[in-house]
Amino acid sequence: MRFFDFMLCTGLLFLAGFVVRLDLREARSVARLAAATGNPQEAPAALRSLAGFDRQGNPTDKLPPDAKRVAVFVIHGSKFQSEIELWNRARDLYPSVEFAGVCDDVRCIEQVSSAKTKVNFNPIVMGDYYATRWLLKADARSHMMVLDRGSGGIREADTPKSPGDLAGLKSTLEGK
Amino acid sequence: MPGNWLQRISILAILINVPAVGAHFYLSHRFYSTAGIPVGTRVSPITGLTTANEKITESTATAYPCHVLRYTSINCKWCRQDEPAWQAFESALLRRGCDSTLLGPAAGDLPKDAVSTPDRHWLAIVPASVAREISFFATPTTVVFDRQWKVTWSKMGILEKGDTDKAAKSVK
Repeated sequence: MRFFDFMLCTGLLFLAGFVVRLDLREARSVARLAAATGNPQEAPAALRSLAGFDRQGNPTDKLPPDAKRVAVFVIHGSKFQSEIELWNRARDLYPSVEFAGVCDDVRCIEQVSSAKTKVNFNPIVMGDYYATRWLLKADARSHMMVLDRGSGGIREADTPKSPGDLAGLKSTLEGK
Repeated sequence: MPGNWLQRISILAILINVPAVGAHFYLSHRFYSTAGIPVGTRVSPITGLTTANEKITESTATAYPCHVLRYTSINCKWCRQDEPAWQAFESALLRRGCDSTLLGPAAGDLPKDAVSTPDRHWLAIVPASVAREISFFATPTTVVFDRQWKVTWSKMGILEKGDTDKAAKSVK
């Protein structure tokens, strides 16, 4: 019985040594990786370079410069028509705010690029990789991004899902 | 007394094992979630607009038998340090018939005077589909794809000795 206890104890000690050694090796790999890469990105970023259209349908490469606030959201090709109607209505309700919708797929890009689709906001078909990626991650959490030109800040806010949600955006979009 | 001694050592070993196993799972997850794009991942062809406003379409992006994608920035000191190794890497892959695409976190992360050629594109902006399908964590990251845009080799961080050979062999 004592022999069995001794073997069990030795086995546990060996296992502990093995796992600790494994941990040290992995910790070194993580540290090496962190030391050999730049800007591990954890903060939201605004779209600075883009390709899209302004509200008149003319090609543009920047967000509207005049508005104090810009709401940037994702337009889903699968729900294109209902989302266009929603965001057109949002723009009517908040004329002091600019709205920019980033297409999430080819269907959306084709439709906003066609002259037939009238939109009251700025549809975007391409943008900076990192800012677009951040926006998509926010969209997965049902959020949009709101840029404040005055403070230079950028924050996430709930994306309205229906016209009934638009009134609730007043404080977010107008800061009142 | 010896029984007591064995018991204490065993308890000590268990006390070491439990947090060590926990640390192992945490570190493994952290390492693998940030260690580049897994081999075998298939993505859509990388399209977009170059720094000179030239359009990279799906047909442009599928014209070559293999593709190299480098996530880089002029503001990243590791990318600058890695430049000689990257140039050798890129030349070797271009000689194998691949094309090369350089993508920055933002258009402003690429050199203003960057000139694209038919087999080397400086991609300033991309459609959302690219941002959704390709998950870069940090610069520099280098990925090699086959003709069908399936990842054959990938590396996050600076390139090391032997990487060029491994990457070149992966697209044989």
